[in-house]
Amino acid sequence: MNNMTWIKGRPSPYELHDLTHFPDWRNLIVWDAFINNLASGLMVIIALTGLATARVFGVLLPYALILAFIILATDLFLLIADLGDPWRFLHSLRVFRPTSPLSVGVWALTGYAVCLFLAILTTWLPAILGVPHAVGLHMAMASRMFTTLAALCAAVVICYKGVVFSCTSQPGVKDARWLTAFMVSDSLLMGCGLYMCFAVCLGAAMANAWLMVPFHILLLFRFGAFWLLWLDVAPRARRVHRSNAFIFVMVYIVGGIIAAALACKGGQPGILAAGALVLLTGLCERYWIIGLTRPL
Amino acid sequence: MSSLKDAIFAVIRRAYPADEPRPNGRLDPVYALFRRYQPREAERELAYFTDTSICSGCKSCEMACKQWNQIESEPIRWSGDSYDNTFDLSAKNWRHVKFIERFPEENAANRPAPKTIDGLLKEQKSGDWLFMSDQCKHCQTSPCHEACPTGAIMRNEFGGVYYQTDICMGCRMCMAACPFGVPEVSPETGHSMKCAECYDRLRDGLTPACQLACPTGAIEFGPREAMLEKARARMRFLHENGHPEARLYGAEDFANYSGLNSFYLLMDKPEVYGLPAEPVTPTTFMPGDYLRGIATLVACAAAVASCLMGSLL
Ligand code: SF4
Ligand code: SF4
Ligand code: SF4
Repeated sequence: MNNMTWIKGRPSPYELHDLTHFPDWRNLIVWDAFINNLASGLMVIIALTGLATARVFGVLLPYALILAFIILATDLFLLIADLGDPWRFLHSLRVFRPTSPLSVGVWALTGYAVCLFLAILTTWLPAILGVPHAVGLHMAMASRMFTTLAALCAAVVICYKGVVFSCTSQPGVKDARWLTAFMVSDSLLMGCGLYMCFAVCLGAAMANAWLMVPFHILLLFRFGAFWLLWLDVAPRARRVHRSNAFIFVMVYIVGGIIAAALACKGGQPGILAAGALVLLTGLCERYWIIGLTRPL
Repeated sequence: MSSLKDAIFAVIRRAYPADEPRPNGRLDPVYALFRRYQPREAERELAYFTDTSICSGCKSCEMACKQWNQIESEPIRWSGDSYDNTFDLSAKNWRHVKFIERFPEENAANRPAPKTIDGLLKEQKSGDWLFMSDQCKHCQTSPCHEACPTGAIMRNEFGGVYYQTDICMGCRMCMAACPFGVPEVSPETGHSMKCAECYDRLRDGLTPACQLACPTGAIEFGPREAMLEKARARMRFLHENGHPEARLYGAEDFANYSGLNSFYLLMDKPEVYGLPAEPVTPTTFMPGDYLRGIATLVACAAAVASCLMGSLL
């Protein structure tokens, strides 16, 4: 008999394919990861710039908070729409489970949304209602406090989003030890890029001058983290994306370099293009990374 | 006013069983919204031991599981993989009998047929079949349980992992976390489902339906230590009788994973049966992953802040 021939020649039908169930991480999840990172990255940048250099960014801050809230609301909608039973979302707010990255994320998102809402209220109400000076001072203090709290919650949100993928058994991402670091650097970069575009739209040229160096530094951080991530996932990327694996990487690297050049030399249209490019490459990479879990 | 209050209280109180003790008096209705039942006292840890060497692939366990748990059967689809038309464990298949055919390439049908039973038994063996009845492993440290954000997954008093579908929100984190590909969110209900270890039967002092239905005794169920003893004895017997390939899977802890409360005696490598040779608990990496993320965040924020401060000076 030649069991050996059989064994050598043919794997069992249960071998050589992914053993885990694919959790249907498709478009909605990719967009959720993208918008979630964008909302939280933007919030951290808003707080950093607003608190460190209120003189320059103070005028942008009230509008930026509203922009962050709109993006955050879109993300919450996507997060809930992706659930098998969206009405049951509230069950995740009845318990806190630190071993579950999603539980950490849900609470951090809730904290972020509440604090951001209060920050917007305390920022805008005095202007709309015309409150007395003393009350206005208190409101301004409260606004700063809620902005800081919202940024802290947003920082937790950025960190959980990578862990929610990397601490699973899904092929590709389960080996991605640098995924969280990558998502952190990328979300801050996207937040910075969007904030620069926002500043261009509101005619705050001064703000852009201040953000130019941080933008380039964050680009460098993103390259570094992406390289480390690539070392983790390269074998799976070659199997899943085949020759496209490198095209995606090149899109990312070339996109980043072009964004850096445009931001430096392109004037205001260049900054808009650089911001758009950073966002586009960010979205592209999330398709690439989350796509690693696709069953073979 | 008071009649309105009484009416509201009456509505909320309906959630209470009449004989339930009321620890908080008038606050009960509010407390009821947030109350949690204490977990039941842990009992003896129970476990499945599946001896694949005597499984005949009859699928009675699959049928009994569907029948007891009232899981609808699906229209037949042909997999082309031997007699396995169940395909995979899923929201509707909590048991899955796997078939692995190991026959030579050449057709042995035109060999001279043996004339006697003795001849048949002594005939040179030219192939074999492996069967395995697969299910949730009720891992002692279960990644699905750790990953669930709603608390829908609980460990019952017998050490089994039980999904409360009435709390599940269908986030699919348990699907992503399980290294064995067990749970699945049902596309119909939107809730995650998998083997419930016949928890209702256990509470009534019965054994799981699959174990009861197995005609060969391949599925055993009982206190974990007793199952371990049986498994080890059986493996010794097989080793002594010309089957050095017999091995236990999940009876002891793996290098990076806990032991299983559904463990197996296998007749080949785990990979042949579609089992990971060395499963890994995903949360092992959690502190490191968070730390790398936080370190990057601090470094980026510090760089941005120092640029801004630098420009201020
Ligand atoms: S086998 Fe999977 S579903 Fe079952 S307890 Fe273990 S991790 Fe959970
Ligand atoms: S799908 Fe349900 S059981 Fe699974 S992790 Fe989410 S809430 Fe928990
Ligand atoms: S009932 Fe027993 S013999 Fe039949 S397939 Fe299931 S485990 Fe095997």
